[in-house]
Amino acid sequence: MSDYTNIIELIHVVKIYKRGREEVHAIAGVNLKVKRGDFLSIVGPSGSGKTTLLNVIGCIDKPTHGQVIVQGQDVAKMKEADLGRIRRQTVGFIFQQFFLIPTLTACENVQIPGLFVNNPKRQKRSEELLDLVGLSHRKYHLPSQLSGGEMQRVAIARALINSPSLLVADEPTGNLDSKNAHTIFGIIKELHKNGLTVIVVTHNMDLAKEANNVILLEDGKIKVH
Amino acid sequence: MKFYQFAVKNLMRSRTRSILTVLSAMVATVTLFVTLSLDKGYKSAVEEELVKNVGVHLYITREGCPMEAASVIAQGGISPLYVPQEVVEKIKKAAHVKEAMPFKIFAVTATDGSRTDIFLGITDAIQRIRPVWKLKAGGWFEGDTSVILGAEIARLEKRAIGDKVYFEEFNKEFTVSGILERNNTQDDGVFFLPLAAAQRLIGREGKLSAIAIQLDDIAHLEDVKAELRGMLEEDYYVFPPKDISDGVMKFFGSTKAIMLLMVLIAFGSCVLGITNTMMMVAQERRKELAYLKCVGARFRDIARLIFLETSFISLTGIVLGACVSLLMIPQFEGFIRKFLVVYIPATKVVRPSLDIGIVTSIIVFAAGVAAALYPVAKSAQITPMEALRNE
Repeated sequence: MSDYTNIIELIHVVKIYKRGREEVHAIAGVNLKVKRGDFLSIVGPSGSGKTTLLNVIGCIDKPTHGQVIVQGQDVAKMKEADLGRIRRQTVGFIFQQFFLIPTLTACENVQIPGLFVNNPKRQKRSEELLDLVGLSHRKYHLPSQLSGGEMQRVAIARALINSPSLLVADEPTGNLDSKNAHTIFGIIKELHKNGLTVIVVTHNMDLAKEANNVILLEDGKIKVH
Repeated sequence: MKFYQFAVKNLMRSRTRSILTVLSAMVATVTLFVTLSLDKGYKSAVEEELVKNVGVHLYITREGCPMEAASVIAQGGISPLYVPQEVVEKIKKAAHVKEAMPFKIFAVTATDGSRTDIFLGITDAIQRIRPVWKLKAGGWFEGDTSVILGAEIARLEKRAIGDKVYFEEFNKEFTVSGILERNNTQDDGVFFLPLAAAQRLIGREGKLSAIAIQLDDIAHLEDVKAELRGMLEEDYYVFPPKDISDGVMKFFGSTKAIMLLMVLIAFGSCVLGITNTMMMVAQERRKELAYLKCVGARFRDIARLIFLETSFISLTGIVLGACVSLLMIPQFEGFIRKFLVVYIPATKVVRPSLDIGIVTSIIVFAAGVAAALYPVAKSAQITPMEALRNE
């Protein structure tokens, strides 16, 4: 039975990739519950399946076996259109590579996910979010005019534009220096304090320790929870 | 930011490529717009000049005419076929024949080929038959050495009433008795002579090129045609002016076919250009489109984005094409007049109109959208995982 206090519940999730004739078990039977308002860090060596697990949780990828329950709905067998709806309404993504559109200003980049839910207040909301991440003075700047830390802050604001219930971040500080990494983690912690559920994949153990829960993933399995 | 602003900003990434694609849509628009304007304009001009404004309901000539005679005249020659003048009186006796105007037409080309003068020997029946044949200055012929000038001829020759006109080919001098009002038909470029004088000039006394007939009621056209056919020998030809315009249009068909081929080539280039551009967009922005899927973009959102980009390219091309077409109509008109080998009416043959503009816009826009279908399908099927692959 799924508990609705769990925003995410994974039940024996397996993800197998085929590489030629070889089968790679990226996730090998993971069971996990993430409570609403939780702050979870996923750590582990390269190739341990952290990003694959995050993609499955964020409905970007589907598991080969098992159940993935997001806010009470099993998304494992959902069609792409339904997964898209969950990505639009429930999940906010932060990527290591920022994925900012180079021809759009910071403010316009923040508004992009708002286009897909036709949010009429996206302009005002984007300005508020840029203010929240301390970039109100850079809202008309193009990504090429921003530093790495500033670009990731724009990406955080963009992930929040549709007021998601869950924020997932894949190595959000991976491309940043330590000062900017702390700033980004500070913002994420602040968002969690305000009630947002956060799941972060990171290599950085110092930052990972700032979360309420840390899981160590090795060979596609949870070793420490 | 609105969806369309997002699309425009995407197009601005590769300005040169976007501009070149817009230009291909513009060329397609210009080609189609001018071709349609010429097709409609030429047909209207031919019908106005050869059917509506002539006041003639039937022509009588010898078998083989009128196209054969027209081609001989166009070469500056004199048709070997003729209608004897005594036929005129016979025709006048037919029921419902209101006017019968005999005429002799011939053309003379200067030895250096620089110009061709058209001469028309007429009687005063022309004033009753042709509603647009009106004198602006002077009056009817005062004798066998009088000439009436078409408006354009009077302007080119700088002649006024009473002035002399010398025809070197005939070694004969005529006096201008009248100048016609400009009526934007072939009349503007014709030397009008008394019928007998014209026949004498080329040694064809009593011989006519044709007889033009006006009926008292056009409803009797077929009856009169049948009566005249019965009245005349078998090698006479009785036909309405529409037959001439139809004949001209048939000749124009080959020119039209070449122009349509040009339109097809221009369209092919345009469609391939847009498809290529949008395919490159889909390829170059693959990760970005996949990222949009990651943040919730649906198939239709991506399709909408690519369609909007294509629409902007097509619409900009259409607007530019319409402007270029309208601005360059005089140049196109001149070009077509210079190179069109069939009959050229005196009035404008390239006649743009709003309905042609609308049809052109719809066709070019539809072609642009069709060109985007495959790139749209490719782009919209990108999976979110594409954003993260190979990282």
